[in-house]
Amino acid sequence: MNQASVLSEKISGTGVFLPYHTQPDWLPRDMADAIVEYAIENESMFQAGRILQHGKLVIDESIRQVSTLTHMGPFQTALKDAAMASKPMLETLFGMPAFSASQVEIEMAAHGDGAHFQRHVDTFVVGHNRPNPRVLTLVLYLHRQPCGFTGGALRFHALGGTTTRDIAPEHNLLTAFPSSAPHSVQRLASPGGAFADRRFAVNMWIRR
Amino acid sequence: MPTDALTTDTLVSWHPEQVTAAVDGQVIVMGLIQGQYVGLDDIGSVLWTLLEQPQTVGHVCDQLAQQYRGDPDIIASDVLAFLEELRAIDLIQALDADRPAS
Repeated sequence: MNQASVLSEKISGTGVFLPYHTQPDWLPRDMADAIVEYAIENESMFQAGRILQHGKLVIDESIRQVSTLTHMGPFQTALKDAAMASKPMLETLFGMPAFSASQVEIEMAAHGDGAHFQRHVDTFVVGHNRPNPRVLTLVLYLHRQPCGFTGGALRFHALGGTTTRDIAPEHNLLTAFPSSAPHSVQRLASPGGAFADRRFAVNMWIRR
Repeated sequence: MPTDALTTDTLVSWHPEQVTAAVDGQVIVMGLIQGQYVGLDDIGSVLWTLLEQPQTVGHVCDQLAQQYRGDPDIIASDVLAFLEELRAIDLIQALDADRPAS
């Protein structure tokens, strides 16, 4: 009996993708549009994005050129409720055991010209609150119309292989996946550099 | 938490620091402590499901023996070896013996 193997050693070639789910028009259209307006109106509240390096949160523009908003104001509760409403379906789709959620973390990220985020998983963060890890990641993509950027795809990376799959960040598109799934954000271009033209993403992490 | 070698009397369960998902029926577990992904085959996936709630290793062996043909002693030996592998990479944990089993 030898059921376990580290995938990077076992799988060659194309590898295996952890499951993911996409859902267009996740929120009512007027609410999605209103969140974009809220973000633009609150540009001054966004702070430079930080990443975890060697156990500390640091700003490293070479890795992550993004600013974040840590509270969604009047939309916070609606977004949390929508995330929790999707949880049972996502557990089923992903073959994940049902779990009790201790928390839904929410932040909005605004990626500007040249922004990107290297390959990572969402499970390793400061404030890990052991043993309450992030289990499900939900990302709602938003942008104003017409779209002011190109690129910025969410890229999934196969385990044990080099294959990737890209998800275009279309307005009001939800993408959900296990927080353990390796992913990255491809570099985007927004030549004018206006904050309103950024690629907005509401990140929602459901913790066990 | 017990660190002695596992026996059929040891109570074991999932380690809380792991995330489980399935791809085409294959269970893939990521251990958050060591950052390793582990893929489980059919039997391993059945065994993994059994460990969601604390169980004695002996109970796990009994469950597998009911589902798969095989010498019970060999099954017990294989299960113990497999569970030791999972414990070594922090995917399961041995619990105190006085904790109630399901």
